[in-house]
Amino acid sequence: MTVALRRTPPALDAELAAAAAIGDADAFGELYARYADRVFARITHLVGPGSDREDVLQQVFLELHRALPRFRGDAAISTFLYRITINVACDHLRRRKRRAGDHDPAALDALIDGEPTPEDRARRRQQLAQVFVLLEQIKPAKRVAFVLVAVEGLSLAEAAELIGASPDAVKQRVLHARRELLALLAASERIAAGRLP
Amino acid sequence: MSAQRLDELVSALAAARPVLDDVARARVGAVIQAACRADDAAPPRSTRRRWAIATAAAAAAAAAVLIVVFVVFASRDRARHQLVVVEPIAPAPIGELPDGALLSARRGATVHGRIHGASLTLYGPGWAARRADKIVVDADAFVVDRSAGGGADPGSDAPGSAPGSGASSDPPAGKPPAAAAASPPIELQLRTATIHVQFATFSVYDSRGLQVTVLRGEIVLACRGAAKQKVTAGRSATCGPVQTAAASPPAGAPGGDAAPAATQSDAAPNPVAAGPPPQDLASAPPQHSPQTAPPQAPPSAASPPTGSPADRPAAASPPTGAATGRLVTTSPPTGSPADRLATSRSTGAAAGRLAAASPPSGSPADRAGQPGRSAAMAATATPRPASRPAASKADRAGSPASAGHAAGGRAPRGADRAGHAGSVTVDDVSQFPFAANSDAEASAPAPGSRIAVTPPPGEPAAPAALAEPAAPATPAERYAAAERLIAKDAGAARAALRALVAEAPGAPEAAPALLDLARLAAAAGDEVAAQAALAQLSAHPGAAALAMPAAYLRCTLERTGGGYRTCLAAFRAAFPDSPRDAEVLAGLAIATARDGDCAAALPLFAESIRRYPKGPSATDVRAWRAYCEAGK
Repeated sequence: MTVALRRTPPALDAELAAAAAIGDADAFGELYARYADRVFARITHLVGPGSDREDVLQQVFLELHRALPRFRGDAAISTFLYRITINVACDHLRRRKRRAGDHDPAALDALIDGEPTPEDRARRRQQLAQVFVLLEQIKPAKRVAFVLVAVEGLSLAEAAELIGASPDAVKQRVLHARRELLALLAASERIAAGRLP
Repeated sequence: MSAQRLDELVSALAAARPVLDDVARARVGAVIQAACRADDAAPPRSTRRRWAIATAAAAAAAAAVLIVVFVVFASRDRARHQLVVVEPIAPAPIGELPDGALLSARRGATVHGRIHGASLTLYGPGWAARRADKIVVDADAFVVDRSAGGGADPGSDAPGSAPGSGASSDPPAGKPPAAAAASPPIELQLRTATIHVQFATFSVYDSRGLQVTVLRGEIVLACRGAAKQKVTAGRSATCGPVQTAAASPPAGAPGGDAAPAATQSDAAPNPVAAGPPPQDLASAPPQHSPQTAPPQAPPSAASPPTGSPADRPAAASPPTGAATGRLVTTSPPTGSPADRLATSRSTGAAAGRLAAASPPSGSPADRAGQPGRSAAMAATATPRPASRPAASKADRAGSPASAGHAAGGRAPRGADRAGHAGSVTVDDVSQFPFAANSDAEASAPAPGSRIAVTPPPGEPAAPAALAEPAAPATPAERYAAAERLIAKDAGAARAALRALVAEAPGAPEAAPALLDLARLAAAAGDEVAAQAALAQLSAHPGAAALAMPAAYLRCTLERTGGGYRTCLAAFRAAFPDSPRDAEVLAGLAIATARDGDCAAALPLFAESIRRYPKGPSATDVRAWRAYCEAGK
């Protein structure tokens, strides 16, 4: 609601993008202010709750700054930015060594919304830790597709546009990711139950 | 069970609300700002890329130039070596050279033939010919091997006899008289000397002066203006240095060297120096004259060659006779075409014409050019009546010059192979496809007219190796290339699109090119150019397919003007199902709010949020709706 208290009307994304493209630092700062939270949230979903999210965020906006002169305005600036986010996150996941459950509990706590009870908070923290551990074990392309479609609720077409693949390919990746996650989950449950050597 | 568990986990992740705290936001923002400043200060990436490309291109060009220079110098060096190295003589069938036929060797080449039972090996430039019982030789160096039994037995080591000497009338010791009777003494006429020999093997080196070395048997050497001398095996003899061209006026001129030659009682007039008698040329039959240079054309007919041996073939006139005899030449297996061409040019007018007619770099014809030159050289002289029967084959096939034309201009595969193998016979000219071209003979120029050697029928005059000009790219290809450039280099893309529109205004690709031009102009802030491109697009036949994006672009150009709202409203009316509807609706609502008409804008905001809650402008719409609602 802070926006409603503004005395000057807000600038449009396209205007900001056009101004930033010709070197207007204020316009680019405004774009950063508008989209940093959303990009950060998406990065968290994609790469996990590690401290490297800030690096990815920084890289995303640097790429945006470099790519803005080539921005033709065919799509919205948000779409353009999310595409960059996906690409940077994918590259980051490919470069990064897979981690196995070494997530910081404080970082997981920061993801929990609302004011749950301590038990509820512990349960949700455990769930988040488990899902990130599972996601770490599948390939980045499948992970990104699964997160965009299953977690963030994008349609196959929207996810395909962001990823730069066909909807069918995205669908296949999501299905494969889900299958692998189920297998991993079943295996982890058997391990937890002590039924595996 | 696992699926349900996975769904719970996914829901937990979807419910997570990652928040970028203010400290992290500020820290990342500061880093980004600093990095952006550094980026702005650095040259654009495209500029750096251009520099890199230019540097790489310059390096590649320099490397290419170095390679070319190296190859050129290496080939020159190789050609120079080829000039000085005597190449091995390829084995070739040796046949008796008929009377009047010419055995010639170009510079650096070695030719092997037999005349009067003597095996003659010429090292070019030079030539040899048989004239009755004489052999006329003019070459840098040559070796004569005449053994008992006609010289066919190279292993024979019988001592020879010099017929010009006192023992000339007697057969050599140990030699059967029948052999001597079957091999009468022969006379070799050189430029500055005459050699009489019956059986001997000797070499002659004729550079600054004549040097004769007898390896076997004996000879009688008669240098011009000097007494005869007998040279026996293992001995050498020399004649005086050859007179230079400046000191040697043409024959018959006052002060020329004809007088000393005439005083030599026992030596025949030097046919090499004197050349063929002018009356022979004058009495040339008409069927030979069309392809024969006019009498004044061969300079050697009037002026004896007196230059250095290397120049002699160019100045000397070949002896009379048609090139009809069996002529065995040994072509060098290697040698640059330029060298061959130069040699051909140096061998007189007819050979010069041949060289001009031969392909510039066509090695097959060039390789076959040696006998062709011989034939042509022989054709410049008049065949004597006695040689007419021997000249029948080439004459039947056409004029001698047509044989030379054939050999010099274009050789068939058979001749090419023979030349490559090291031997070509003049008889082969009858197999040339146009040797018997009666049309060419009928259309031959009149006697005395200038010879014009034309390319053979069906043969293009221009070199066949000329590269075809590159086919111009189609408009589709050009548009695809320009489209690829749009994301990389807007300026280059603009230029490519403009060129496409200018050169193919009616092409289907011109329409999207115009739209791209308008978009690029709009992105660059050049609204006038954008509007002009759109106006040009509206006149294009393919504008209908691009009406929607063009209309949208036109509306965006109106953003700063007063017609933005009207344009957007018209767009929505014209294209209600446009994929741009979310942006257009949001833009229309915001424009309405900006105009201060929040009352009209609020329903549009509501529709936008309802229809496109995650639309690309949802953030802006919500912000403006809040703005309008706050002002209510």
